[in-house]
Amino acid sequence: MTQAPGGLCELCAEAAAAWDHLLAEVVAEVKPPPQALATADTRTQELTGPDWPAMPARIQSCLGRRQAHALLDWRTDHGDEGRRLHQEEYLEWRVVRADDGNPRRIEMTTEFGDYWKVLAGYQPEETLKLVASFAGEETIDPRAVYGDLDPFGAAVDPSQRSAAFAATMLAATGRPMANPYNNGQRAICCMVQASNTLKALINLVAASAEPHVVIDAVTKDRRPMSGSEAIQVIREGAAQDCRNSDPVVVERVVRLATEGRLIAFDDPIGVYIRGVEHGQLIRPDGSDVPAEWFKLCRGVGPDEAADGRPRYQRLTFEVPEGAGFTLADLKQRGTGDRITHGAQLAEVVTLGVYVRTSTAGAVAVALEPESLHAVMPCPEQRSCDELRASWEAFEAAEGERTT
Amino acid sequence: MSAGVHTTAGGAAAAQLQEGIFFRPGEMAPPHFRLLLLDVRPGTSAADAGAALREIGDTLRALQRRGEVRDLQPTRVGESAATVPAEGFSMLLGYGASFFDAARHNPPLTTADRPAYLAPLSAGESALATIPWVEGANESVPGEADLCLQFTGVSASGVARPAVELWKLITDRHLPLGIRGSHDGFQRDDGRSWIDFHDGVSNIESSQRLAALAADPDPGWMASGTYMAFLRLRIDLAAWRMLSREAQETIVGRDKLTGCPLERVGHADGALLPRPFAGCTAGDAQYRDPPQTSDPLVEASHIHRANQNRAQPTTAASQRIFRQGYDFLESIGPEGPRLGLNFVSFQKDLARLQHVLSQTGWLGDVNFGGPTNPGAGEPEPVVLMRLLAGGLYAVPPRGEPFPGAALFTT
Repeated sequence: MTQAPGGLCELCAEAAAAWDHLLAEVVAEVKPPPQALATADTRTQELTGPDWPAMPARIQSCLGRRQAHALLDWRTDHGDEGRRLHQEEYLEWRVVRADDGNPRRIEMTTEFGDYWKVLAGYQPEETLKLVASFAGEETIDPRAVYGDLDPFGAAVDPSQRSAAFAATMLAATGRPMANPYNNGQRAICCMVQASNTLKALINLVAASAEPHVVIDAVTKDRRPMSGSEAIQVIREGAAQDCRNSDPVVVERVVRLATEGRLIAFDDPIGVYIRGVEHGQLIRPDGSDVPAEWFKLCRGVGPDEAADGRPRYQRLTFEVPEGAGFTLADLKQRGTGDRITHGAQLAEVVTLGVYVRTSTAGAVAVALEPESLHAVMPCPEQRSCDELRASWEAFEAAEGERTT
Repeated sequence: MSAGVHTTAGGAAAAQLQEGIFFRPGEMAPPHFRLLLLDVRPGTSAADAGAALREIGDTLRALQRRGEVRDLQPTRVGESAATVPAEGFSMLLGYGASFFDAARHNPPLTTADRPAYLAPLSAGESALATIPWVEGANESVPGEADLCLQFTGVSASGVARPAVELWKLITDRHLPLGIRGSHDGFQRDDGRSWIDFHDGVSNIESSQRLAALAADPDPGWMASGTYMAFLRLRIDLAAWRMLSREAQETIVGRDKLTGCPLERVGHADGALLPRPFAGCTAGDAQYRDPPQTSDPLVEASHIHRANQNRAQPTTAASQRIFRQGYDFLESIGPEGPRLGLNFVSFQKDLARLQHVLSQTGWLGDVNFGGPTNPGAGEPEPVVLMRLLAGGLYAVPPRGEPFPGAALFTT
């Protein structure tokens, strides 16, 4: 039986079996190539995996840092639109602001909606408690999480609860999220951006688990493709160039495959908060923000994990009461800027996935060099046009709000 | 099947970068280095500061192209100017955070946006997460200033002369500039560093360096420019030499003699057994970029921590930077040598360097390399490097009459 993301031990036996089944289904659906194993086995003893900054890279390269920060925090009457549309690095956040508009607390999550659907389907009581705790409320009305369905009804089955949860708490594609318990207004529970899904992650790794080599244009040596190069030739739609996450995952997995290794997801599968550069935030007196101010949870820490690797999925950052200053009084060391947006915290958060691999040369691979063609630099790629249009929509909406 | 390659590797962007960055295929950095730090006198107008820099540019170009120096101009009838060897150096102009500081410069020197990560290195209680200052060092000879000029050349005199010529010019012409300090260094002829290990072995392939260098247009005036980091690091060679060869190799991640990367570090009878990749020989090009490893001790070594993702520079999360460092030997006496490395790197974004130096699992939790929580027999954390001086600089693209000239009118 596979573990729950983060190594969490909250699933009952039926829910754990359902999670196991869901993983198997998704893996079968993406049809992994021969070098990608459906599950790790005795051949895949080694653990590795890339990490990446949580700050969305594509939006920054298209719009510049300041505009990217503002757009990523875009909140409307329907909740966090910037998050739903653009927080695409497998991490999403909400910013809790004081009446004066300054940030008071920032909450981040890497939890998949897919997992929450399983939890909500089998364990409504635990789900409601969890949502309430994230919202800072004693209890929560079940209708806030399950809509019109009574999750405790005698004839209600897990699939009905799961569907009701998804309809109520997760965004329908292309639609704003109405539910305040996952749209950032009262809480953030799990990810909702269209590409931050379990299937997207599994597809990303599976699609990359094949060797791809090129002859370097200058050195004339054979080398594994870079992430950007490989994204052009792997399964269409499996990865997007110019992000932080996709190219680095693709490049690492392609390289492992090129070395003749078998590849499998680590158990538990997930995207994990590997670290926070707490020294990159400084207090008004110039001293570092203490690491303890970053509360990591929803996964095991390095001390609890058998392999010593952290598998946190949630981060809450706030200045403790009595500190004599607020979160908005903190500065980024690297830029000298005060903290005004959630993206500034994302800039100091590192994410990662773990994959298991065999030793190099475990399988024979054909290393036929492939040809190269030109790709536009990230700021000039067509997807930037969509981001610029989104910025214009944001500006127009903000203009309306202030007039 | 065909794959993509970013067109930034083309010649147009490369042509825009200032001289003094030796990233092109076949180029080697010349052996001598001098960094001159200049401040603009507070109260100077942008126009006067710009005019002073223009004079500096003219003077340095006359020296560089024709070997002209101020004190060898004809003063008697019928004389011709004497000259010194020309073409002896390359120069690069950088702008520090304080250049943009309106509190320091009133009137301001520019109204252009400061690049986000171009901030004072010395802000906060420590400059870098795990590299402490040498006490009092930054105050005596700082690394930060409004402007920096990097001179690189084939001889020590070739990079010293332009610095002295600048002093003459500033003095004679009463330019509104002050020399804040200077740092020098040299490249070793053995490809090794003071700790006797190979250095720069896994620097970026020349074909990919531009992707690591060329800045995005944010702010716009930095398009096709780059960013320079300068860290003058003192190395505690005595402490290093107390470690066994096995401990040193485990910390660095390479065999000390051959430079071959380690695949594993075994243990036998409480002793470390570093094992390089089988088949690797000294200078083996195949192993310049170390293959993937999953041995936690090897992953914790310096060469992996400095490039944990082992990805190519076009990959944003690779955090690749282009290093062009120069060693230094300040003095040697009864107390032993005072030596170290002028860590000089160029990168498309200073955030990359910040991540490399402050991320856990990269260099954010050790001073140089090795495990943070060593097991029995594994090397204890050692403070090998301390910061003597450091500064971050924006290096705008080439421009006339000098790089960044438009800043003074913006």
